[in-house]
Amino acid sequence: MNGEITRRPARLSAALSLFAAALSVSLVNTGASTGTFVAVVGLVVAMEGAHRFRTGQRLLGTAGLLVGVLVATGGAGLAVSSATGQSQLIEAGLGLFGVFCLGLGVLPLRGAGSRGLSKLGCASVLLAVVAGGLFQTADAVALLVACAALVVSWDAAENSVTVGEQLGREAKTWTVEAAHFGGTALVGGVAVGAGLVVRDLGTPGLPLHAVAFVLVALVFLTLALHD
Amino acid sequence: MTTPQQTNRWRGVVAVALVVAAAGLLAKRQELLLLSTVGVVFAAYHRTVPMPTPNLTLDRRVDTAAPASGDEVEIEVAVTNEGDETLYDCRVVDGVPPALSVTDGPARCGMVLRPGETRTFSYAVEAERGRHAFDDATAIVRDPSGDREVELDVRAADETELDCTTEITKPPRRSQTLDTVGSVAANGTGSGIEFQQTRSYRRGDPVSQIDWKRYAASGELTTVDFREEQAASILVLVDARAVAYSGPPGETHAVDAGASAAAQLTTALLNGRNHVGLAALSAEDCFRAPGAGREHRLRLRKLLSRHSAFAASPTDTDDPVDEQVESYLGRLGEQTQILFVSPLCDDTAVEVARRFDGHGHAVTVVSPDATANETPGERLAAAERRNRLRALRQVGIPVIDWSLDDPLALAIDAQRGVRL
Repeated sequence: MNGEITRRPARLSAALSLFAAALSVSLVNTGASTGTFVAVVGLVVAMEGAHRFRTGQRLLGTAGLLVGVLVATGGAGLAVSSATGQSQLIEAGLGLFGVFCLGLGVLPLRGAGSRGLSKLGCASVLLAVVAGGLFQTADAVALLVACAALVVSWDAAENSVTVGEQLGREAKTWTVEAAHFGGTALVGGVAVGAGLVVRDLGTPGLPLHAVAFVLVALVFLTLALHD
Repeated sequence: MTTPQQTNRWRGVVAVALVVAAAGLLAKRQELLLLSTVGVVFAAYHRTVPMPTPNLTLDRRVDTAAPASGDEVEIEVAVTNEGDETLYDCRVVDGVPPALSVTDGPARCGMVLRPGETRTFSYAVEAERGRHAFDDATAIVRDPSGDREVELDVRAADETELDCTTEITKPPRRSQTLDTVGSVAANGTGSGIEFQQTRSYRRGDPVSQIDWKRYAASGELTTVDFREEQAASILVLVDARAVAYSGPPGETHAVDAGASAAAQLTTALLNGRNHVGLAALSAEDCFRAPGAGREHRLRLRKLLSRHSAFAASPTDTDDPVDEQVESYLGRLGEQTQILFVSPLCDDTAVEVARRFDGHGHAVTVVSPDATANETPGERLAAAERRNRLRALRQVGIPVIDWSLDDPLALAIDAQRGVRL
């Protein structure tokens, strides 16, 4: 091993990010969950293969790329074909597009990864989650968990790029990544709990607008915390 | 210590939450409205989580402090959290000397540090000729949410230095000397220790120099003359202009080589009881008048390892050097020799050498060869440099051409007294 620093996104965070995004998509659209996870695995194998191919391991790289593309296409096909009706098709499409963008962002072919691509991917998954709420294909708890998983996924992707830029892929970084991910995941859990509490507040008879005002008040409270 | 900087990574999370909430309101979906609580909780998280005040110490151990060129040197870095807060996200990048390349493991590590805890990481570098001081390590500490970060320099408990030089026994210099005892053989005779001649006694010769044995044998009074040894006053002038930061890609550039040569030359000259000064032709003035003694030696060494003129990359573009040469000339004593360390990569360097020579300072040029021989452009640069060497030798300025593959001592020994 030489001392050159490969400024690629850190491995652990990238993997956790993709996993969380896939979890988010499959919570919204339970039928597509197997397909999404298979697609993610295929994507990882394909990107790693492509990277190996670029860095000189031609045979292994080609094999990885081929197998990865096949598995990813198969997974995507499975996810799309399991969709019944237009609404699920939209969700599956947005979710898969988001996961693929995120994958390109945190497992780049070249360079230090892309915050823009991972943002685009997360935005797409967020649209899938919102679509899940609009078409009522998932219940409130699943949506809350999916949303929290999405934020955790974005956070891990961003952290993976930053750690990769500052320390490189060869450095021992898993403790830092795990601590960061643990903190965010914990807060994600708290967020889900808070969402459930707000739901219980709202259900008995409060009109939607009242709940909305409560939320706006919460937002202002948060902004006030800044100063 | 520096103040925390915002990373802005959570910026927009509230806005996204509000947009989702608005969508929920418009579509009259309570589930969507609830999703905004997630955004609000994360926004609150990054605002409320405390930013730790890092207090780090660093201990760096080198397995051999004086390796041979090409040796692999193992370096172990221990980072300790002296503060009383846990640092959840601490990223450390060690200050590897710019001229050395890391051969094993990166000189960087991410760590979680509880109060009082010490974490170590190690890496290896390949030793290159010269004296290399380690820079301060850089630590980046983030709060758990990554919202704010602090970047700080951590100085090692004791300064580490890799010394990979061959001792120069006879540094180059010319015969102009001071009236102080030193190691340069003077032309005049006097009270040294090396025998020079005997001559007939003249009134006023010291009694101790009369050859009494000869007087006893022949009754003739003779005086023994010894060769006087005197000290020289020498200014080592390093060409550290931005243009001198040249060199084959991936190898030592000429300023690094020059600083290393200056370190070796000053040490050797000071060992020979000469008065030695140090200056640099660079964007920022760097001048230390010739002097002697232990403290002076330390000052010169510190100047070489810390002054911005000898930094790993040029700090500024070049201004004309005329004024700087003028100011150095004004500060030099009359009999100071100049040891000009320059890659001679432009005609200005030749001008500078001739200017000092013209003002009566005996100039010797030590020229690290930073040219390559691959492309036509590189070959042209090499040919131009050879012409400059010849031009200098023609006006009587001795030039030592130092190929960076050899130790400096070898180049000096091989070319001592060569004048073409």
